[in-house]
Amino acid sequence: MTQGQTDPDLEMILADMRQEFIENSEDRLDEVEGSVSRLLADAGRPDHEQLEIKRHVHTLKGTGGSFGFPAITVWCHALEDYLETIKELGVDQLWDVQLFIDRIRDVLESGLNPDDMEVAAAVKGMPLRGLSRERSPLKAGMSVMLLMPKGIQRKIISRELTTFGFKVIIAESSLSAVDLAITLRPDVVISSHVLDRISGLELARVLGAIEATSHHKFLLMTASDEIGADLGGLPDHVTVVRKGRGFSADLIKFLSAQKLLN
Amino acid sequence: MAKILIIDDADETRTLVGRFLQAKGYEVVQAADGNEGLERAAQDRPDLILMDLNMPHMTGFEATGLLKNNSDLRHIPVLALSAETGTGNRDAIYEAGCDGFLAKPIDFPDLLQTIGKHLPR
Repeated sequence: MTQGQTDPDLEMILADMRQEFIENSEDRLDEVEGSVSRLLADAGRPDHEQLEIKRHVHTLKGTGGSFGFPAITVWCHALEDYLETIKELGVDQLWDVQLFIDRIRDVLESGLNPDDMEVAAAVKGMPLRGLSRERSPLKAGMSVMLLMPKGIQRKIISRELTTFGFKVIIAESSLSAVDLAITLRPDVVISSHVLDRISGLELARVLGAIEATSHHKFLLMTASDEIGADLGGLPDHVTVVRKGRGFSADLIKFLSAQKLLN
Repeated sequence: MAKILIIDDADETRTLVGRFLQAKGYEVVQAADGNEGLERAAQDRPDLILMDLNMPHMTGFEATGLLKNNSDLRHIPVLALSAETGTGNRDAIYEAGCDGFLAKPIDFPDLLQTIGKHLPR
């Protein structure tokens, strides 16, 4: 075999091993989540569970790069650093561990390795509440209203915003969002673009037109393929962010641009 | 087909590399630390050794030094496995007697090519 030629046999072996890596890694993440749950529930042996978490993370770190997922190595490295930094694995720290695990799972489930800069920015801006409050990246007292369909994604984003330091207000519908925005005056509104009855963009326009809510910043969450397709003529106070694994990086970019970070 | 000894304290690395090499037709033996590695080398007489450098109890540097001081085993090529690929570490790898090195995380096509270069003809 000369250089530059592909070896179909080699390609097939590597494809099989990559798939196996993904499946094994998902099992490992399940194990870590199991340890986190047991520790949160005061069940299991803390020393044993902590060692198991470290062992799984270390293994993932060592193998991710071999299968086209250097981002997993970066996230695991950051998690190992975090576990080194903290004095104890209390409730706040366990939620932080879960946040890291969510990130790693995002990469695995996407099957794609994110851009290096994106990963670096996301790692740098991780909203870790288990560290001292002085290290919280967000200015104090910020509130956000979240409008998206009920489900696991909303739960994840809500938890992420909370750990970031936001007071989170959940709106169940676009109409209740208008009411809540007028009443509670959140600093930031985050909404899915696709909603029942009216779109996220229409909601942004409505809130922008009401004097009581015109001060807020609006983050419109879209799938990446929606960007540029039907979002022409965005109002000035609206910023588009990506759903899923790009969300965190986009949020940090937005907060930084708005000078909302310490 | 050639026999390759993998000496690495990380189960996952041994399993992954071992499975890959077996799939490519190599015979694979494994050891989980330097001491066991020396025993396996003497017993199994591999054609090539993949040696992790960062192991507890006996480092890969030390194990390689002992192999290269053994007249029965010194002819076996040793390829170091290391996440540290800076110039200083590379110098240390060759000074320890290694015949080459592979960076971690493992790039499998590169692994195959490097092994091919160092196996006795």
